[in-house]
Amino acid sequence: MKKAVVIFAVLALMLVPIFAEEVGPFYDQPIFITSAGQSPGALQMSVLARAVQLTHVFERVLSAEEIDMSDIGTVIIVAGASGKGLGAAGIDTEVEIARVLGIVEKAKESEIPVILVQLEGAPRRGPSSDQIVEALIPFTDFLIVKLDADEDGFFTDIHEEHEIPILFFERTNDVREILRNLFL
Amino acid sequence: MRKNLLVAMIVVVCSVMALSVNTSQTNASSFGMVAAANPYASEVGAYILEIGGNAVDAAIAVSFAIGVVEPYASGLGGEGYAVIAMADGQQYAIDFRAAAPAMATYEKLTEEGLRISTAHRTARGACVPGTLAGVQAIYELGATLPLETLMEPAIRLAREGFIVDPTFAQTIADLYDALLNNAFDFLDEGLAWEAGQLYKNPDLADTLEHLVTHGLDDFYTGALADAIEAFMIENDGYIRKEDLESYRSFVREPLHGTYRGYDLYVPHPPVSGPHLIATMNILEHFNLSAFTWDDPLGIHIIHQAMLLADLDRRTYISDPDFHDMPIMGLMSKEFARSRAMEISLKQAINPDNFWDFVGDAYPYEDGKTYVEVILESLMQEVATAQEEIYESPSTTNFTIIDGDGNAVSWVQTVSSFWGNTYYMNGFFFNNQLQNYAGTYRPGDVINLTPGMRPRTTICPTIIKKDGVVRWVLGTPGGGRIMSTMTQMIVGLIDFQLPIETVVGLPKYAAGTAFRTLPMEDTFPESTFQFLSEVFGHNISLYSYPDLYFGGPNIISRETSGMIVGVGSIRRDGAASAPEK
Repeated sequence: MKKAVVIFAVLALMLVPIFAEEVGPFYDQPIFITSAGQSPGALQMSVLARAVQLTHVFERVLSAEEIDMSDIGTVIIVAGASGKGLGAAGIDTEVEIARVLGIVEKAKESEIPVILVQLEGAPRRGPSSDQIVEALIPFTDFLIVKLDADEDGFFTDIHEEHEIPILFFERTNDVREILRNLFL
Repeated sequence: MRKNLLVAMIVVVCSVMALSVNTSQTNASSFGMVAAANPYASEVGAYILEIGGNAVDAAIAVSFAIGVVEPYASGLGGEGYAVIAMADGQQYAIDFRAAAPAMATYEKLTEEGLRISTAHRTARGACVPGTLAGVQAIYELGATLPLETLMEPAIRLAREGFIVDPTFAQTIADLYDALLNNAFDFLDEGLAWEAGQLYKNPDLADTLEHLVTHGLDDFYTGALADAIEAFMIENDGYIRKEDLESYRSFVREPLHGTYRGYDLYVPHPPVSGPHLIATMNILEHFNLSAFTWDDPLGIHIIHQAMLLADLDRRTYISDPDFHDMPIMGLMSKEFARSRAMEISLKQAINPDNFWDFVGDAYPYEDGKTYVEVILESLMQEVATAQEEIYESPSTTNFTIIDGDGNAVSWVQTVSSFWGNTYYMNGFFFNNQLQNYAGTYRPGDVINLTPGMRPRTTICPTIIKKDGVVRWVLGTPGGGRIMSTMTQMIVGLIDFQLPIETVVGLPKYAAGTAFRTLPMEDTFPESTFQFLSEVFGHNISLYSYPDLYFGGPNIISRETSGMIVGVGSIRRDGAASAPEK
């Protein structure tokens, strides 16, 4: 099933240039990128967005109250718990989940789509990371997941149960093309 | 996943080098052995043995190679220490530790609004690298092959690439922000390298080829020295060409101690040779062989001995060119007796009271007995460095025995993983600045002083029995190095366990930096319970195996003559042997 989803998604994205005039970008810029768990993945997402020349803002620990959603087209959350990152931010997993939930709830109120990304793969799976993902699923419109993060079917199950579209990728660099096709 | 990557890496290395060496985590051979933290590096060493090089040749080749494949743990911008025992009886301890540049002073830091804690991950954090000076000295001591031959495998690895392993990838993730800011060219177009990717470092290959052409001394006096100075000036670093030109490595006889009839050959200060001997001297007064490795009373005794020896290390050990220290007293059996008296068999020393248990080693410099000293109750006031300096689980080590019985134990580092994160010509600079006292304290033996080499815990060690090399030991692991070394030696000598077992056993740590007792979680539950409820230890558990406790790569020369090597289980280590 996972392979079918991947093939479908890749084919769908390959068809985008052909129908570019009719289809256009799937999601809007500017993009607000933040971390859910304070792992380095969110900063890498900013690097990827910059490489594709997407208009975006990256903030590691901003709360919902500090964000003006009227200036935002899409919210990208990069999920991954890092003890080091949370410690540096002076917060724990519960506080981090509350922060990010505030952001996605505000995005929903403003009808701004939320893309949830698992960028760092299997090394960034674990109880805290999974807890973060599960908390955000009800607000997620699209999933982008590193293939080796789904060896146990965790994200495939989410996709099937919640009917959230999902794209898998093998290498972090592959995400450039995904972003290009989603936003340009 | 890790095992598949290891296999993939070995296949790539073998095909690249057309080797006839064999490699595995535990290996046995009568032709020689190289144990290192990375199979690429261990294979390079075995290849050099295969083509007729000796242990010194192999060690130099491994030093260059491991700097390529573990750029986060050591390299041209780093430093280290090696202990060598030649089959003809010659023994050497080679100090190529980094030295503080002339500009590195508290006043300068204060002028720039910085402290050591905020400066060590900037260009200012780099002390004068010693790796190449050490390699040059070691080459002159005992190499037999051309230097170009010894550097060629590293150049090829850098030029043609190697498979990134999980440790490489994880250490990037841990420091991604700083690497993105300071070492963008090292990253994969700004992204972290991932396990399984092929990583090439053409800049480093060019630098190594430059050194082949112009000589290693070019790093200290030539075009590379000019480039380093320019880089430092541009990035507000402190190293200048004068620092590089005046840098020297030191060659000495190793320090010597004994433990239950075995001879330990260890490095000099400012690293932890005396500390290791002092620890083993204390333990020699306890019948440890009456215990098993997981016995809580045995663990408690070893823990307390390590703690007491660490108190003394932090009190006395520094650069001998800058501070006098009672080294002979510290390493004396009589001093150890006075320290053994401090160990309660009922209760652990309370972390709040650690500094009440500092030993006075000075009276023992004159050869006095513990009875004389204690009865005289002479205690001198000594300045104690009570500030904790965190040491990350960084650094790398490798060990080698060749077919003739020449042995090398070598530890090299850039201090923290990725050093100060500044990247030039394919290599990273060290951040040894972090190992000086955070602020100036009168009488402190580790105050930042230009030219001084900082105290660290590395301890490459060779153990002999009746004049024959028996074990070649070393480990990375920052503040846990001494704990792991002690437990390995007790395991080998007191518990008579094979080296594969002593490497694989769960580890614990002791020292003044730990207010808890860090332990890997695979000891018996009853051991944990006894340690905490009877002795009062406050245990903090780590999931086995944890890189925090280091990654020893060690070799045993069995009484049968067979040489057994074990690569670290905590860091994708490997042992490689030539096939002839």
